[in-house]
Amino acid sequence: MFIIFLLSFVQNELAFAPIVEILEQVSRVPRQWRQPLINNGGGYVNHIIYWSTMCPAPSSATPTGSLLVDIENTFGSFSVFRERFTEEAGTLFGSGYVWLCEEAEGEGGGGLVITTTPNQDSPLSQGLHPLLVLDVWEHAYYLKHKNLRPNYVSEWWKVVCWEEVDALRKFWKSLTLSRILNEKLFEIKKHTQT
Amino acid sequence: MSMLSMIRRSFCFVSKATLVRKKYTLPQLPYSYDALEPVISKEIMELHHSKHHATYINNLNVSLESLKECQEKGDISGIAALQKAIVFNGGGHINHSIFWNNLSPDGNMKPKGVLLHDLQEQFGSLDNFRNEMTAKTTGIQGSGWGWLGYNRKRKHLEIVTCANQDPLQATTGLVPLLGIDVWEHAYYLQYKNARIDYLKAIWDVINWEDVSTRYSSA
Repeated sequence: MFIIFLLSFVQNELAFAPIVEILEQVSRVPRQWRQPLINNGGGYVNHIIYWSTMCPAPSSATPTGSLLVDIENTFGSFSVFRERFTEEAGTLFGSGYVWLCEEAEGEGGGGLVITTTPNQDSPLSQGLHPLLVLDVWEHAYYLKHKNLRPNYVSEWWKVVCWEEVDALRKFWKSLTLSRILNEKLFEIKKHTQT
Repeated sequence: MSMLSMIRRSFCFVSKATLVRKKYTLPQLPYSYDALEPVISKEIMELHHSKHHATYINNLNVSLESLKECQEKGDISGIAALQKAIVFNGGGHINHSIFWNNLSPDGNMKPKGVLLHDLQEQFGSLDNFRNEMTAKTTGIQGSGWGWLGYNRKRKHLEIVTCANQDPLQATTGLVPLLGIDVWEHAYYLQYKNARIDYLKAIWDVINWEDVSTRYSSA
């Protein structure tokens, strides 16, 4: 449903970059394509993360290992994190998403944050790496829960797949690392060519 | 008690009295929940009116109560922080109050008189107007409303869209004549993701007399 338009008429290498990269640098997309790209490209990525971080029978109701430690260090405890996330989900006006993200800075990664985005906007465009997402567009819950969004939210916690959240976190870390390595390689190449 | 403190107290009494306001209540629908079938199902109408609209009103009342407290304390930061909730819930109340009256079970209504003339003049034809309003409203990203509004300054009709529950007049200055709700709760149970089908069907239940009345007093 969410089609990525190839911006073949754009004098911009971004047109051929992966969708993640396009969303990270969405302000560089020419104005006439920017909003459709946010809506459709963002929608595409947001839903991939949403589906990937749920499973019918999670092996654990809470995160484990370093993710749990970092959540506890950031929010005080897992239940405080869960309360804050749930509150954001309950109070978001209109259509959008609630996210647990990691700030995309440096080699060690930044801190964990709970954030929201309206419509199909992606936290990738805000320098964040999404780890966990809850879709609160009405289409995500209305057929089953009608207007009772809080019921949907409390049910959703039961299908959060913390293993996948952890795997996604590791993915962003290795992506960041490979980008840094590529940059360093590029610098070395440039230096040896001059 | 000194004269000064009596005067001061009377001012406090007056200022508290002026800050007392009525609580908003859910307006009755001009028809029964199943009256707009098959265009809009009874289930949708009941949830939309008795749950969604009612929630906007409850939350508006709560926000206005908080606003009153902030005003009494002179808490400007608190007043500013409440604006989003007032726009959202107040807008929701305004928009839905207009919407219920914009709709009618009488499927035979058509625009007449000055409204018909002006729609034809400004959009080329009634079909053009309907197509443009349908297209613009379908294209709203996320939650929002499509509006036919009257621009008092330029003295003409305009089709605009608003996001979320932003009230048309406060946001754009246009006088609202006809609004179409495209929040998913307005159609999803019946039309699922096919917003365009809902928009094509809703033209059969527009209360053109109500739209004309709003136009003549705009």
